[in-house]
Amino acid sequence: MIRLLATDVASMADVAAQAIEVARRIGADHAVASASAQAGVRVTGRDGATDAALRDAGQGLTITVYRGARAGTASTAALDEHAITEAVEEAYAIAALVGEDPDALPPALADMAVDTPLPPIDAPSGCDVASLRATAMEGDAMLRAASRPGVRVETVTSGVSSSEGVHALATSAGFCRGQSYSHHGLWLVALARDADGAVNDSADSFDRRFDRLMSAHALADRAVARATGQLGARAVPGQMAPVLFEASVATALIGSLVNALSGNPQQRRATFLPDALGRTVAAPHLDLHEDPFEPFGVASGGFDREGIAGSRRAILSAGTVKGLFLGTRSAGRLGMRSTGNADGPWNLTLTSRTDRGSFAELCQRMGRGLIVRRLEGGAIDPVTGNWTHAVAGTWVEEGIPVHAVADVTVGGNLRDMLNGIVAVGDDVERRGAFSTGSILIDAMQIGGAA
Amino acid sequence: MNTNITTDAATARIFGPAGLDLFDLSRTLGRLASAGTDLADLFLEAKRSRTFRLEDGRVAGGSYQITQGVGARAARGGQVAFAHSADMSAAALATLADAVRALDGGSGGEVAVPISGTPPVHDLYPPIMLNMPGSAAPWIGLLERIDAVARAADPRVARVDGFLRIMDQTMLVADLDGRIAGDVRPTMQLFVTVVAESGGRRAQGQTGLGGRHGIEGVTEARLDALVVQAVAMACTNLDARPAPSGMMPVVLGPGYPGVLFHEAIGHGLEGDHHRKNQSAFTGRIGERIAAPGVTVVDDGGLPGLIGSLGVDDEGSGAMRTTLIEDGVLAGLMQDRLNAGLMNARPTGNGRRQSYAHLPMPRMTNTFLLPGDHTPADVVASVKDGIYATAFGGGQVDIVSGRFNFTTTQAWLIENGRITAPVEGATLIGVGHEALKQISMVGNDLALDDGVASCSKDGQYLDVGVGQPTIRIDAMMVGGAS
Repeated sequence: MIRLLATDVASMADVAAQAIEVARRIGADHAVASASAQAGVRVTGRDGATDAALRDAGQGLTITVYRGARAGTASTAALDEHAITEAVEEAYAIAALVGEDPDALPPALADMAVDTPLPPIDAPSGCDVASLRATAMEGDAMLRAASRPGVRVETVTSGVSSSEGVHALATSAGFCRGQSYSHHGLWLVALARDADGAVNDSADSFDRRFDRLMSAHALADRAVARATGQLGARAVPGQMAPVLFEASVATALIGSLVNALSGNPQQRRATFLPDALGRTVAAPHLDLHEDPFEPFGVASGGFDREGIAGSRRAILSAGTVKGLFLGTRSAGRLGMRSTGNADGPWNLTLTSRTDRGSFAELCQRMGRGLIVRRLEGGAIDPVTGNWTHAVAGTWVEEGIPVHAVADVTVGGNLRDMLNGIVAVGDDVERRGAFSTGSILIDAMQIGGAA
Repeated sequence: MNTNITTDAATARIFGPAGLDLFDLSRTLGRLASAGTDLADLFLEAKRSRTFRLEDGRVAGGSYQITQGVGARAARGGQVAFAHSADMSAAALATLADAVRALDGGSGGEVAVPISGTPPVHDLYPPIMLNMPGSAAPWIGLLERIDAVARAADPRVARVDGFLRIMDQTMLVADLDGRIAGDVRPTMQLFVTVVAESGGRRAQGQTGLGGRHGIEGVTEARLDALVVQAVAMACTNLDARPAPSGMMPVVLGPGYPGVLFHEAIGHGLEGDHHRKNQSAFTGRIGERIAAPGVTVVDDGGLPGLIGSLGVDDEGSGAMRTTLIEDGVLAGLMQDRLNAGLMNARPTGNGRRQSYAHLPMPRMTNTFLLPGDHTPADVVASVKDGIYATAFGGGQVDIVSGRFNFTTTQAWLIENGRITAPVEGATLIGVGHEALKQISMVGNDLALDDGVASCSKDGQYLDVGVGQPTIRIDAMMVGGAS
């Protein structure tokens, strides 16, 4: 097996332990160090040739050093003894300059994931540059072959990547653990051109296992359908109408909910869902489940950057909030315990207990409204929940898509949107930590031509 | 005799710790090149940065980052091979050159490349280091002042956050043509976020400032004005109602709203998109896309601005490139790779996020030049519309030219007067059509305060944007009402 990475967990654990030792020597009361290294190959191509072949390599150490309840953090990409010492000394100097924060002290060893199981997340591809190049060229050829009379399809990018990494965490309390992981991706960006103009759109697939990526063929079909489907797009009149968020963009709504339920916004009340625990904030048919231990899950892991394990749990049960996303500091301020989410959410899946269906069935159920296929720029006010985005999509009449839509905005308040979810599709897509099918919302404001 | 202070300072700061000399670069460049290599370069970088966070009236956290490494690139035609390493030793350079060769299948040369070029000279900013040991205390004093100033400005202020970033980047680039150039780039940025609360309603205001200077560039007066502005924005937004939707006249205030030109035309005039025939503006140079009087430039040579570069990341000196000349599409921004393939000249726009990223044509300071109208006349000319002075960023689809950006401070204009504040108005349009709607250009040109950043292909860079007050006769506004 070809490995891209020249280091391993033990070496990174050594680096982290070395930094802890320096911290202890210069008088720190506590210290937390994480060391990591990544390596990968990326190839992009277009128009029958390689665009770029890249060898990525990165490494780093981050150390937080405490003087009592004052903390300073430093990081370094150089891992020699001199750089490690410089980083630790800088962190220690910073700790003298900042205010006390007792809630930010590192957790006790008893609360840490000292011997919990680690989910498998490492599956090196064994691919060399030549095979990755062949895959990129295959995707490129498939896109270009999709040209038809009156519509030319070009490749903006056909890309493939394979990478590996290791990370290790050590603390002055005695924690020292690490894990290897892999991450692979395939992405295609197609440009469709007709007499009236050009549009582009993409399709991609990311996984910890190279052989679980979607095929170049399936991705090319999807990218071409998305791009050609947007040709001739036009605005629709401003109005209130139901909106069906395609699964790949519906994940963004989960992201907004996760942010609202996260420790920092919760403890600072900078969220449209203050005091959320126990409150019903979404339609009562919805469940949101978190699983840190899913084998080869994109957001799986044995512990967060503070060394605390997550758990399999309900975040939403029947629309009611059962869990927040907390690290040690925000948990302390809320009088709660860390949920092992210092790095954010683990794998999350949104499901409906009662209102499911295929994408076509959701279109039928919508009747007349807008399918949102792409979110362009916009604004989300985390405090008020006001949500506005420019979008691209398709207008639907009597359950049938009738024309592509652009130059419109969709607006609403996240509070209403979460309660207004009437169905979740079976067409489940995964974007990073989030999995969901398409989401149908009963009514939103469409801002379009007068 | 070499009298280039900037390149000399950069060379000393990079060669010293890594134990490198000029001949190591010569040898590595020789190893990078093989038959058919059109372009090859080595980019060495050392970066130190500090950040401090103000929360609840005290400095709640601080961090220090050491970043360093070298990127090696070789290109034949448009095909690029690239590898990078955090290790800058001579042995690591040799390994790196071999890695690049392995990527494109060629075998490297043994003949060293003589380095003899004369680097560009500039005095846009001094080659100073802001992050010296023990230099943090006065910066923290600055941060600590913010809370008190904000709370004194208005009793409705509920929360004050501050964020300070101080960065020193030293870079050195040497290429196959024997050129070498270096730069020492200080950057400071300070952001203030204020939340105001009244009658159960909360609203936010955010401002910031930045520049390529030390703490002497942030006077108490400048800092206080910044904080008061954030408070005013938060308090204004307390009363904001959902923005209206539909086509309407829009007046954009001076400074940051110039992000319109960055998004609507800037990205579409980057050379790489043209070489690949992927920009909505491809083949349209010389075409009128705006009214006479609309002239837009990109200029990396303005003293002290975070978007300025005395030397770009490929060693080209700063230039002013006219993008739109009196309403007509005029020029492209180029890096060496795309300029070479398009038979054009580099324009000082070859930029990269770090040694671990490939350079691309990127903007520096992009802005609309001033016209004759007073800002008051521009506002008074509108019967019913929107007046916007602050945005939360924006984005563009290069292929279609469609862009959008969302206000963070805006008001209704009714009968020529600025009236009720509105929130969350998203402005959308198509680059080559929207600019035709510009009917008035003010005389109050301002660049943004040093807070703009730009993302392209996942690479983030500091840029400058700017404009005077302008009137756009018809623009699509999407709001929640």
